Amino acid sequence: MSDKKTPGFARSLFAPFFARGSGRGFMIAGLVIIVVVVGMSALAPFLGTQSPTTPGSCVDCPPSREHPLGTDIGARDMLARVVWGGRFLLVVGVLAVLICMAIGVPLGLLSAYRGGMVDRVVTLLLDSIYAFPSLIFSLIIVLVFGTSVFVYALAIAVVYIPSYFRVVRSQTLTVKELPYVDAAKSVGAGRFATIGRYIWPNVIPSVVVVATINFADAILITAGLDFIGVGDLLKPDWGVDLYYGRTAVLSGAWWIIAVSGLMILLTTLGFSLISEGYAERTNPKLR
Amino acid sequence: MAFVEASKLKKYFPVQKSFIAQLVSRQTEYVRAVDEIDLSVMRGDVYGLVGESGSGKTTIGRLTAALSKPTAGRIIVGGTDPFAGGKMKEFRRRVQMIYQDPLSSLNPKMKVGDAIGEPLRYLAKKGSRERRLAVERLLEIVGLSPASTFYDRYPQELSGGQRQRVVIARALISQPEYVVADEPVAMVDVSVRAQIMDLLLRMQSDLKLTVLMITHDLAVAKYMCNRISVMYLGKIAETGDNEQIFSNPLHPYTKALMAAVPIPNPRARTEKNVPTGEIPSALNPPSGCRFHPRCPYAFDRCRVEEPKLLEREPRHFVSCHLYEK
Amino acid sequence: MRSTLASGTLLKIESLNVEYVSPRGVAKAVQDVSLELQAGETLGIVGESGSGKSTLGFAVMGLLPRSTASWSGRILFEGKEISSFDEAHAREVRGRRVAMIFQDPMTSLNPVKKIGDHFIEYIRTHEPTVSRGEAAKRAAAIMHDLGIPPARMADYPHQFSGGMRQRVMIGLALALNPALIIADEPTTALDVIVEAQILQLLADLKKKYSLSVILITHNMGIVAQMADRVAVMYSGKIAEIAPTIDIFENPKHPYTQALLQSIPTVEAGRKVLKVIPGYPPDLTNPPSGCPFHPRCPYVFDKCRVEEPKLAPTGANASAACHLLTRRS
Repeated sequence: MSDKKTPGFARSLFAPFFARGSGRGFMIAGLVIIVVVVGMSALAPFLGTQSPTTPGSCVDCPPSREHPLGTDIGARDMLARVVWGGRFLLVVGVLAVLICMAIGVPLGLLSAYRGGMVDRVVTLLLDSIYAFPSLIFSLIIVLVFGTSVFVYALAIAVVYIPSYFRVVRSQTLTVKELPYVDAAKSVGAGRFATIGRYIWPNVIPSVVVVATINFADAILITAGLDFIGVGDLLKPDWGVDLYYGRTAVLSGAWWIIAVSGLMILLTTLGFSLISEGYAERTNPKLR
Repeated sequence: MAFVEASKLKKYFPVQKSFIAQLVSRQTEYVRAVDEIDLSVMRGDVYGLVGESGSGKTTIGRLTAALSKPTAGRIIVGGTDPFAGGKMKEFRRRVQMIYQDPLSSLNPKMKVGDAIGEPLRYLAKKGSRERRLAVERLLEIVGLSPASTFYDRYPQELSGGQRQRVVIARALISQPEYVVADEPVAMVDVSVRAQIMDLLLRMQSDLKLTVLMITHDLAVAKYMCNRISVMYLGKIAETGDNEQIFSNPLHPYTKALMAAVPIPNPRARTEKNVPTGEIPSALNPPSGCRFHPRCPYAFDRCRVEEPKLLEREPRHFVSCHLYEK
Repeated sequence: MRSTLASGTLLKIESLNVEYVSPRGVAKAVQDVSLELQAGETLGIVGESGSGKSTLGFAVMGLLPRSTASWSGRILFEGKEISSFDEAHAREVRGRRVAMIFQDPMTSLNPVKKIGDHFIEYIRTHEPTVSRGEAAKRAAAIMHDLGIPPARMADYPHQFSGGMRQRVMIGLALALNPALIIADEPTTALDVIVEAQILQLLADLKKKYSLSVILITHNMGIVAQMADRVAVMYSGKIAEIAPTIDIFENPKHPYTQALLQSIPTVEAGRKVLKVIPGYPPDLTNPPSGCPFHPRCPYVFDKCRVEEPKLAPTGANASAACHLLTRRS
């Protein structure tokens, strides 16, 4: 018997971040990146940079003391645009993940618990959605319904729900057969108590993995849509910078796509690191 | 009047077929886990169901605890048929199960104290403070002391023996009348088994429980049970009191089992007459007496006709043609 | 210290120490274990989970996981040190001269390879000069000794029952005519009657092939029936080692005594089981002094501080307990 106590249920979610063992470096690195990016984006109004949207005097100017990261085609300060450029992307990501979880998770849990024909039909349905190409689908939705945060989030969510569904369903099917779920039956737990207190807590780690990948993907898709010029090009956004920066590069202004591209890369990397590390830590390792 | 009575009990499991196979052939194959069993457990018995894998013993345990529905036949526990009319919650309060593997029968995300209190939450609708008191009291009784420390532990933090005590506590907290114990010491360390068996016997006598003890270990059955049924491939081979079974085993299978158990006594090294072959599949059991392909005494009748369970001496039943004269 | 082994000593383990790195800390799985095995002997190693018995077997076979285990000590087989062999040399000894049988045959067999092919490829890997036909003949001969009809050579592992698969494992172990077989819980996953069949098979094969056997198990009944000598392990150390009859009729170590008194048997008469309090120790945090002291009915002060060493208690027997050295 160990003297060390296992942290409580809520804390056990974060335990894999700090426990000893391999992969910890990945997780911590990912966490640091995300904290920095999110912090920067959230605190943007208070960070005292120049305005990301007000045009200055110098168009496509290289980095200087006044503009440490240069300016873009609209003579706007790139540093400010870097600080402000993640907000839209992150909000879309958060919304997309929330919508996906709200729909995909219960669907997966209930369908797997119910089993039988119902489960087969639902799985078939969601598997067909799974086949949609996410970028093209989101493109169509945004073109049709506009460029607000919700439209983006919804478009991404629709394509991602099947992933949550699959993972949750697969975990539920496994957990469902374990003796402690049978024991739940013998102590009198009804369907919802069994799912809520016995199955769901043991399925959560797999959801965290999907959610982080989902987040990373949401950012890529949103930035990608901006990059091809579909989104609202007036907002400060790393993807928008890539759109304008494309042409600017031809005249030698490399810093625009460099910094915005780097930010997108970094953010996605951060989430991917967390996802990888978390998956490795919470799944029993093969000897 | 038996406390737990099973009559003509059958449980067949359909074999899962792939989607295509289902379309192609209409016929379903069944695993005949339990094939027409009659069982009578008296109040206060520690009744052993002994058998190897595929004997159906665990399935019977689950059927009598209403964790599984019979394909045919009836189960009455304490005068109640759990499958007739909706008194399931009350039934579950009176009938509990102790599972074999203490690690996988406890929710890894639930504190041990909470897990023990679960029956009170759902079956007795007790509030959280009442539950906590009851749980702590029971933790002390089963030897997990100090209770306040053990309450907050998680199953992975405990040793195998401690976990099994938790499982036992969970089964006893609703003050049941009938407990099904499925291999309660099989997954416990050898030096700890005596503790757990002792605890079970003590609880049984203190709470006046009726226990159905499922085990493959004859030695455990000998120590714990006053009455025993030996099962083979879904049928009962022999039933009798403890002394009867162990001093005068009648069924060839019972004799084979007894002879096969390695005895911790180096001077008892006898040439054993071990039956050949292995337990056949319950999908397609042998015709006639199920044991006949491996029985050293098999004769023609055994291949065609299934023997009935008949009383050979008072309280001692055996299903074997050797004894039908 | 003699530099040459006594004739007949097949395996000699000297001061073996094995440690595992686990998420909860460093586990001392085997602590300073020394023992000898004579040719033709069946040595039973008995212990519970965490006693170190399986680790000992893996160490002799060189199967300790490289990433998490570290070990020290010497293992001498037929007079030659195998612990310090280079990989190629070691592989020759392990497999050809020493073979291991594991608890779960299913995970040791390749599900997409026919049983016959398992044998043929195994033989030809270690003896490349043997032709396919000859290997097949040898395989058939072994299968015959195992009681498996030769027609079943063309089957796949999943078509075999548990007992049959274990027979195949035994057959594979014998395929290269080893001198020593290490059997790690060979019957734990099997039903009672099949277990008896396999144990009888092992006894017959031992005689026929003149094998030496190390039988690792938690079941006292098995060693009583099969072993010439028994080593009782607790918390990574040998608590007691003696000829089988002595272990059972006159056990010297309190753990051995307590264990024998606490296990139920089918023998005649009503046995009153003596309960051993407490639980087997956590290897990452073992008790000080004698590892059994928290549970020992005879514990006294010295037991809590000082680790007892193995001391002779009779002919070819020794035990590690302060009780035995107290009076002398």
